[in-house]
Amino acid sequence: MTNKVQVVVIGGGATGTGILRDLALRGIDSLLVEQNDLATGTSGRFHGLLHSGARYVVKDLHSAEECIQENIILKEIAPDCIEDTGGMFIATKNDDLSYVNQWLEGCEKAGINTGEVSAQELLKEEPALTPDIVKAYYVPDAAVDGFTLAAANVLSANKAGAQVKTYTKVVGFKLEQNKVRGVYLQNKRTGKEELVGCDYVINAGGAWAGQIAALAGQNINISPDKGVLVIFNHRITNRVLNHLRPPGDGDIFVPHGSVTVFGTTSRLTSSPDDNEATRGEVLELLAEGSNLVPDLKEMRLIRAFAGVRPIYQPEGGEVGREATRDFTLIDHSRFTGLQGMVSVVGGKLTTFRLMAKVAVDMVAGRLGIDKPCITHLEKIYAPVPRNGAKPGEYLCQCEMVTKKMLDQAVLEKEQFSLSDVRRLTRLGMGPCQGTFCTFRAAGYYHESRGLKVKAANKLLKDHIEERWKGSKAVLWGQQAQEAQLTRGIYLGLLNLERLDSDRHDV
Amino acid sequence: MSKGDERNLDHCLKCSTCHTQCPVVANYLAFPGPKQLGPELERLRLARGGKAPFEIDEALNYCTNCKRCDIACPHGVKPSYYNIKNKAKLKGKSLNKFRDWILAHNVWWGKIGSQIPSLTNFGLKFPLTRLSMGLVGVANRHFPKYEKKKVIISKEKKEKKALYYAGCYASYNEPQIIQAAVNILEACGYQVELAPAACCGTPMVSNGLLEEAGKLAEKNTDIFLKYIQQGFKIITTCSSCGLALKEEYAHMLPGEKSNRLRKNIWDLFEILDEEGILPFSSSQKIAKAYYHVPCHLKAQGIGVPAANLLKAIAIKELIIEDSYCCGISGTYGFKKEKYALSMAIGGPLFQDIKESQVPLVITDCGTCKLQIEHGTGVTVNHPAVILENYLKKTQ
Amino acid sequence: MMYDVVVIGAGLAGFSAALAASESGKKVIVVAQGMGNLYSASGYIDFLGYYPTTSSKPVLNPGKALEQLIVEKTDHPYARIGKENISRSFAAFIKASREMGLPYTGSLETNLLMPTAVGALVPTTLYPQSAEKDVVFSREIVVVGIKELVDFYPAYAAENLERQLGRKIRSVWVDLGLNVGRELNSYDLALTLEKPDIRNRLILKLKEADVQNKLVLIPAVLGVNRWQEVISEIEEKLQCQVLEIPTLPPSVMGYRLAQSFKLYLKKKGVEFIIGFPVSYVKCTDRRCEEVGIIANERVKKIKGYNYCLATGGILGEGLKVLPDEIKEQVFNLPIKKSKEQLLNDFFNSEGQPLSHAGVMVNDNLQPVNPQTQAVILTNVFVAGATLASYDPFVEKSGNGVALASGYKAGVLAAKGGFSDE
Ligand SMILES: Cc1cc2nc3c(=O)[nH]c(=O)nc-3n(C[C@H](O)[C@H](O)[C@H](O)COP(=O)(O)OP(=O)(O)OC[C@H]3O[C@@H](n4cnc5c(N)ncnc54)[C@H](O)[C@@H]3O)c2cc1C
Ligand SMILES: Cc1cc2nc3c(=O)[nH]c(=O)nc-3n(C[C@H](O)[C@H](O)[C@H](O)COP(=O)(O)OP(=O)(O)OC[C@H]3O[C@@H](n4cnc5c(N)ncnc54)[C@H](O)[C@@H]3O)c2cc1C
Ligand code: SF4
Ligand code: SF4
Repeated sequence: MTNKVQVVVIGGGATGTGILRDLALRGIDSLLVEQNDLATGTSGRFHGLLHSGARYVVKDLHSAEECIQENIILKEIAPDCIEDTGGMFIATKNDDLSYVNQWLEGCEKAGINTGEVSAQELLKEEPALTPDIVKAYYVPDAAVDGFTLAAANVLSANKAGAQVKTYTKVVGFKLEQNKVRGVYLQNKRTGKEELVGCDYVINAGGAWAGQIAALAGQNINISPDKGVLVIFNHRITNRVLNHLRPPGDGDIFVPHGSVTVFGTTSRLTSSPDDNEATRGEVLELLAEGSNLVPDLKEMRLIRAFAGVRPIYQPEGGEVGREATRDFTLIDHSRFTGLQGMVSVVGGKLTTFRLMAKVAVDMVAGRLGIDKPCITHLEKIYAPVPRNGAKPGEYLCQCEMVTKKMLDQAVLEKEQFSLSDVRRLTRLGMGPCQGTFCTFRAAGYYHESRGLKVKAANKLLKDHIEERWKGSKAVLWGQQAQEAQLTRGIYLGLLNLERLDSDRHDV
Repeated sequence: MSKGDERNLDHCLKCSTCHTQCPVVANYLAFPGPKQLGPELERLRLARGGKAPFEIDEALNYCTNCKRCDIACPHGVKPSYYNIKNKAKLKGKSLNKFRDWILAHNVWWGKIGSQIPSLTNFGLKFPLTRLSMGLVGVANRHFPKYEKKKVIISKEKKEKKALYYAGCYASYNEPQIIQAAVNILEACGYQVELAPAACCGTPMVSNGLLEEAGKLAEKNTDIFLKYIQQGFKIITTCSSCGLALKEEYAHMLPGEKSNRLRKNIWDLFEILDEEGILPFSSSQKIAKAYYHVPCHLKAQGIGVPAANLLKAIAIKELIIEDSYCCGISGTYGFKKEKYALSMAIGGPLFQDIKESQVPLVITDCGTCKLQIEHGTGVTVNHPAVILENYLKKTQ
Repeated sequence: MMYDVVVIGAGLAGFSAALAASESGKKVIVVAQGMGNLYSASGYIDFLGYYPTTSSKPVLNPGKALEQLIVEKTDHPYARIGKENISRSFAAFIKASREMGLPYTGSLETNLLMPTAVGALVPTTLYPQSAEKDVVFSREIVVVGIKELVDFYPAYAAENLERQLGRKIRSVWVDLGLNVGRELNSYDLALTLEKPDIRNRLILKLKEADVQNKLVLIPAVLGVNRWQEVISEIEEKLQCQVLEIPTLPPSVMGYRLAQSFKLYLKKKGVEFIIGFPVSYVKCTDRRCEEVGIIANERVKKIKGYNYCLATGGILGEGLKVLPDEIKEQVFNLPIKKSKEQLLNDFFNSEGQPLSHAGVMVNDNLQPVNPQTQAVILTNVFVAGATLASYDPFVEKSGNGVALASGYKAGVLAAKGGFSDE
């Protein structure tokens, strides 16, 4: 590969991959670098709600309008990434009903269709809901898969000639005369560093954008705001469930394929890397969620995690949930005179395409390219399609993952972890959390990819460790049992933990 | 979703213990088994909004509803619950549907047959009838004889009241069971009445006619509850009827009513055991017999009260076996495409019986009896019919 | 009806207790929520594979390691059971296994190293006679995988074994040509291999793989009930030795043991009620009077003189983990546990604290208060994974503890009439 591109995009989340695609479709030679795998930042640690905007209509009408516009576009162009579940807002007898009217007005203004439904009728379709519903409305919410979305953006961008380097971290910038000339990259696996020259850098580092900008001596005031989410073993409701009240903790349930993602919270934290959910936070969430789904505490949790919102504060004003979710495009030349770098911060996953468009419009203009944005016109596709498999072909029965999908997930990858594979296929995301499929996948890849046996062992162990970490905050009830079964299999039955210790002296 | 029994899919750890206990898996490899058809696929069915069944769901037709998976599960999952529910959603071939309907409604057959027993019995032997049965997909096997007999009941009012629910098999095919049960109950000091209720609905449940079964269940529940209010206990002698009233009804009509009902349903020998009454005297024991525990008795969680009595009173050497399913599962073994499978499932039981060299097999379930007689040629009797002979003569 | 001994739980510990109690002619009933963990476990009785658990070297003489453990870890179940009782339980189990037609062998003085499905070696103490084969010293080994089975990868296992044993090991796939439109697990394959035509297919394919005079390692799929016939036919026809490797659940070897053991106990007159948890107990004066299962909204009471509690651990559901506590499910016995529940590292060889939690007992296996050591119930004897202070998975002692503690609990329960000590 060449050592010079026109634009380097930093960050492989929804925003960065959206930007890369937009650049590529306008014929701009670009490279995206991501320190881990795609969508391992906030775009893989979020709620998975393709907002209709209804959540924001009272507080932030502008944001709501952007959401509904993008909602409509994305449903059209990214069907592989979106499950059009529909959504609902319900108010219970304990809620303030005056808010309902405000909310209805806001939806009207933002152009979000709402349809009222009687409690009785809704309960027939969604029997898990509390019988205490007093008002209920349907909205055009949907579920979106951040992993697939980032991968699909990249697939589309690749086709148009863009390049991507994952597990590659930006460690510095080459600056000349207050202009960015290149970025220093470090391969996280080999430790090797390289310089890639460029005309422009777009910093789409999300919650890390401040850290990245600092490498170029720039100051962006981002307060990391942690949100905890939990995953339930089954689909509790068929539609996205929102609590019809001023936005707060624990008021959204998003059905994702066979599971439900529930959350979230909003707490200022010290670091964008603080993505651990604690037992206490999970219990608080459950208490809150029980108002909408009374049996919640009896349902099986399979995982808990947290994501960090990149909340941008121009003047250090408001923080936390009250802050605006609108995104900001920072043209560093206007603040410090540094040429060749813009940062995109804030926003929502739902509006990633719009953010990309705004950023690329500016950068393209600076580069003297006047091609318009066409990202809303062309469809994007998942690299590993989920359909078409027949019984008898599954390696993971919980989530119906086939050997063919495993092959597709690692196409052209020299190195990969099972977590990388999981993000594209859902391998190990079901109730057993990898108990059965991890061994199978390791055995399968060992042979099909000709892996060294130590590499296969590592693949296997790393994935088991990773799944263990994510379930620690919810290890009670059935998931504690599942963990013991996993230990029984990998320690008791397979004796995996001694495999790489020294040979037995026999 | 997410209510009560539905939710127990959350308890599945995918250990496949249930899979190893399924008699259909053991004899028909293409059958995906309780773990996959039950909790595993149910999650994915929910993900599809519970609407369109999977292609693989067709296999549900092969589940015999024996419930061995339910009791095997170490984690309280009841795969058969999902099987029943989803079987009802299958479309299936229309011819089989017609045949299943006939079999599910054997009560009507039975009724007509028992009013004119000779005709039905003749008809079933008659080649043409057999041929037409073959055409609708009913296996060429012996059908139960239909018999009619008047039951003698004492009119005396007593404090202890029993409503005896005989079920289809005893009512139409072996009324002597009814007489035996009535005699035993009376000997225990009960005032007995015969239940005016129709079929319990088991055949409909296992043929996927859930809606109809539900209606029947509702009707029956109301009848039973009226009696229960008057202080009656509901007594059954057929394991499948008993299980249906205790468990299936609670699934079909979850709520207070079915809970009140199930608390008052008793197997004849279960109540004797509970009350500690022994109206029998142990004279002249039968030397040797084999007691087959019906799957649906095992699933009731009451142990083997009849066998314990038989052992104490009537049989010197009683082999009590619960390892095998006889394979008939109500109307299942009457279906042409399942006949061979049904006999294969029963194979180990038949072999065990033959090897035990017993002159007599005892079991509580009418269709188990048919299957065992068909598979072994050994006489099979209901425990009530045996034990009746040991009632103390003073009564 | 009054039973002499009521055993709660149908895992190896419960079976073993029932065996001991029925040996002394007692009237025994086993009541359990479901089948035990043997259907997931290997079917080997691992007694003590690593001691201390952080050691990377396997224990080769478990009897000797046991003596050390008894001195050093006085709370460990083995210390409560005592070496003599352990030997007794081994002898009784081996005798019973012969009678049930699934003969086991091995001794407290030696561990045999068995290959696992990833190609590690795991030390085990008692094993079916058919598995008495020495992987370490056998000259030529061929690892065989079956294409239809998703749970075994022969090249993967072979390469790891190569590293363990320091010599070349061959691996082959055989394809049985089964096409049934679903994934097959070990149990399914074991069913099919009882059929002569499919077994012959396997034998033909193995012949092509040139296995004569070799040790064939193959996933444990060689028959569910007629395994003896299947294994000996392969060995005779191909003049080779066959060793089955336990696979991911469902475990065929575990199935064989569980089914044979249960049938054997039934023939001995032990009654079983399986399918419902014990969810009612009546205790007075530090004695359990009766227990009951709730089936269909009604309590079925079961009365006995003495009780064995063998309901398993967290996995078996004898212990239930709640967000802020762990509960013993039947008698609500106090639990011995440490504050820290989970270590960061899944493979930590010290074991997880969560797994060490359980019921503390005295030398009579009666449950005691972990603080005061006072006996809580005098006629209840606790066995198996319900016991505190060991982690079966890092120690490789799961079935060993279940067998030995179950047996002792059964012996004590059959004797009856216990005071505190
Ligand atoms: C709990 C929570 C729930 C949310 N729910 C929703 C929702 O339901 N719907 C919705 O629309 N939005 C939601 N959001 C917001 C949404 O997730 C984010 O706005 C969006 O994912 C941000 O995407 P991004 O690409 O800007 O950032 P990220 O996805 O975080 O991408 C930034 C990337 O940059 C990489 N990076 C950082 N430093 C470097 C470096 N030095 N070199 C190379 N790469 C680097 C990181 O690894 C990361 O992958 C939620 C946010 C949170 C926290
Ligand atoms: C995957 C796996 C592999 C293993 N491999 C090995 C191995 O290779 N070698 C080895 O030695 N060990 C192994 N083990 C460990 C070993 O299997 C267990 O430690 C041992 O079987 C525990 O036996 P148990 O009888 O105490 O409990 P269990 O087998 O768990 O039995 C508990 C019984 O109690 C019943 N029960 C629970 N609650 C109630 C209630 N309230 N009322 C009534 N009944 C109840 C259950 O239904 C069950 O029947 C393995 C374990 C696992 C999970
Ligand atoms: S239903 Fe029960 S027995 Fe069957 S796989 Fe699930 S947990 Fe195991
Ligand atoms: S009910 Fe019986 S036949 Fe049906 S899946 Fe369960 S065990 Fe198999």
